[in-house]
Amino acid sequence: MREDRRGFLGLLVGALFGIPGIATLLGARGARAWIDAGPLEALPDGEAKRFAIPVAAGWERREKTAFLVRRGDSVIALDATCTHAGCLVRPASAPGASSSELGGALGAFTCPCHGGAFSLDGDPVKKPVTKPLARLETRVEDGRVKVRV
Amino acid sequence: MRSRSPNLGHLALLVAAGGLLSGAFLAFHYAPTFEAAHDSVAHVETLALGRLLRSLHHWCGTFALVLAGLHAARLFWHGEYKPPWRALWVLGGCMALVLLGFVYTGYLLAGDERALAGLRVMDGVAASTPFLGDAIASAVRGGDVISSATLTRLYAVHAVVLPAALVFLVAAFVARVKRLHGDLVPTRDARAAIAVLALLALCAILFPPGLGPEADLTGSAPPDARPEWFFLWVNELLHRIPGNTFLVAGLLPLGLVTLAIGLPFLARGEAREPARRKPEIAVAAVIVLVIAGLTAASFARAPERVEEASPAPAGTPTPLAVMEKFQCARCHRIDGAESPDDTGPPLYRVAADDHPAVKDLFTRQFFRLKVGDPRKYWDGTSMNYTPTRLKPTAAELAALERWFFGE
Repeated sequence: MREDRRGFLGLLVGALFGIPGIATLLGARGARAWIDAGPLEALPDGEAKRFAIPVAAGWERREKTAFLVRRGDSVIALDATCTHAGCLVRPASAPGASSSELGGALGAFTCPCHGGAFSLDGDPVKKPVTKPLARLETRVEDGRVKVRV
Repeated sequence: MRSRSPNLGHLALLVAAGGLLSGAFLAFHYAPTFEAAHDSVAHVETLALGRLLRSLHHWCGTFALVLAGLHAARLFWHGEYKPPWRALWVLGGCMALVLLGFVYTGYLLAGDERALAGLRVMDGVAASTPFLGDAIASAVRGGDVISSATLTRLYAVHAVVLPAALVFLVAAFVARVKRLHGDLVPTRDARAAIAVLALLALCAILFPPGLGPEADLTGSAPPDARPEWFFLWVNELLHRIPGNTFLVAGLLPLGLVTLAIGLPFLARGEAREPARRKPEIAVAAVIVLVIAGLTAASFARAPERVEEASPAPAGTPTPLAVMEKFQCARCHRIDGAESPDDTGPPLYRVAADDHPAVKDLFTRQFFRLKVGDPRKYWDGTSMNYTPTRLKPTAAELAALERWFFGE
């Protein structure tokens, strides 16, 4: 009986303080929104331009890196996270990008971590990468690029 | 053994266990620097059940202290600090001191104005120590002034040192009880424990601790600066007795603690019946009454926080004048007006936009980071405050903030 009571009290304290505690650790995902990424004319055709997406992370505002690629009147937005192991890819034109990183000038984005590469459209062009870069939803409105983050 | 009534010491420790558990979860969300403390505490309150978690943690402190105090009063009344319980009284007193330490340091960690005022008083009292004041105060502060180093030190005490001390004391206590009684005293307090936890949960739901405005390390103390309830009597003495900070807020509390914990060695009579211990009971009653009276006086003197907004003093920049000065309109459309360049996103009043995602992303904090120092926020930005290339002053930033977010 005594042991039962102790066990019961332990359970009670665990539930009272543990349930709110665990709840606070879950569901830390921010809200979705369309954000402005500047005028379409500011993007050079057929080139990748870095775009920093403001992101609510914990109590901070940080950013997530994406690349905007303009093709005529349409724009795609590529998440810079490599689909192989999670490093951030770099555009081949980035300063300091060596020719070996370019993977024989194959890709528009290279990943220094394991040597993979992606085309300007985010398709995998060099192993060990096998999956395309994730795309963010985009639209062009009144000549301005909007990205859904 | 005495009585079938619940052991209040057990209950205090049960509540303290709740404090440790809730505190362990809160530690996942807290950052002990002045840049982040207030934001991280405010962030917890936005999480699912986060406000409840923080409130439960807060009330654990108050409940544990009250239960420990009542427990001590009862032991004292029955003379149960005398042999063979001397060591238990001392260990229990140390536990109570650890609980006090928890509540005291916890209060100072919130990163709001009142917590900062509390830190300053702690610093002032430490510095008032004769001869060693400077050494003690700078060790507590972790530098020449109060800074994030101070906060980090207090956090280490609150979340590492004190929990370890409590666990050690409980273990020593249990070992001692086993030597005296062969086993732990049978618990008869399951029902009382449920009642206490229910009351604690109710208080936590009804009276969350709140969070004041963010501390400004160069700012003046807020009008409602006052310590937690159990230190109000010291606060009142500091208010009433000129000078003598060390005597009032250092030596006196330390003396009382020593007196209380050392009681078994000071009151050595063998009688346990209250009727045969009148002098010591009278002394204790006077001390308790004086402390209660000072606490009541402090409550009576409690200042109300003035809520009405003061009118903007002359010379406060208007939002439009600031936008004019920094030529925001060169790159941004403002309120739908045309802009010659359009490099930056259109600016509009967040207060007027009721899209929840916009409110979530473009908070005041994001505004201060991004607009306050664009290049620090992101070094690739082309925002450079043409033509001045000067960053806006705090007053100018505040004016812009009013424009974006309303008053």
